Amino acid sequence: MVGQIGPLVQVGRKKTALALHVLGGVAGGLAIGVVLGFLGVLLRAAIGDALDTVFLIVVPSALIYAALVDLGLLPVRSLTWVRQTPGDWTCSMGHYPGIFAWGFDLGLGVTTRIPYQTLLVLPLSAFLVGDLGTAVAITTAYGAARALAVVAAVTSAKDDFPAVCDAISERVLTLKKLVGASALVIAALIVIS
Amino acid sequence: MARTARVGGIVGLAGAFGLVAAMLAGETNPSLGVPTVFVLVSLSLVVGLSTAASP
Repeated sequence: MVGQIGPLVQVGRKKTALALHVLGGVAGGLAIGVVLGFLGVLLRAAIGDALDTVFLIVVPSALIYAALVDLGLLPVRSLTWVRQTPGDWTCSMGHYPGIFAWGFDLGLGVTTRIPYQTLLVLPLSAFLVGDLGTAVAITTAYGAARALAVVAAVTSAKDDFPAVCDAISERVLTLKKLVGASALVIAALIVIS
Repeated sequence: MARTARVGGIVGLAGAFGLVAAMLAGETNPSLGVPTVFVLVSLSLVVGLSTAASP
């Protein structure tokens, strides 16, 4: 995404393009949070406070499983899809709408390639939390953070976007382990809180 | 130095956003509360900030 957006922000107004990308990420996270939160509210209405018990069992368990996979300690095939955000959206939709749509698509979190198994626990927890506001907070935080990470990479690139992409690629395994370790910590915090 | 400051600023901004979001969301659901919501939002921030390179 850095390699795609980077050169594009040279064409138009850089701040507008990056702001639209962040706005798209927030909108994507918000949208999936509303859907999952609504489904969670329906589930809470059906099973009541038992949902809290389900949450406290399923979410930490899923986090531990995802952490073991991301840390490379559990040699199983990662669950992911091959779809990537279409690179031609800026042509088919226009410059700024395309950049917004990229942010929206990535902000949804589950419609493109899954880089870390821990990512899958986010929509799961947003659903099982059984509260609309909390679900929206979880998914919107993800969408905003992912878009802000792209902005940070693009603004620090100094026009050498391939070099930034290479630098990030070299750190993918380290980031994966960082995410896995974070998932383990979060699982423990959920259980003891 | 400027690059580190810029990245740190963005990470700080995301953290502040997450904290406020967790507090607002946690207040609406007494059964889970702020701590659980905060850690979940923190995880979202960590995963989100780690996926800049992913298409």
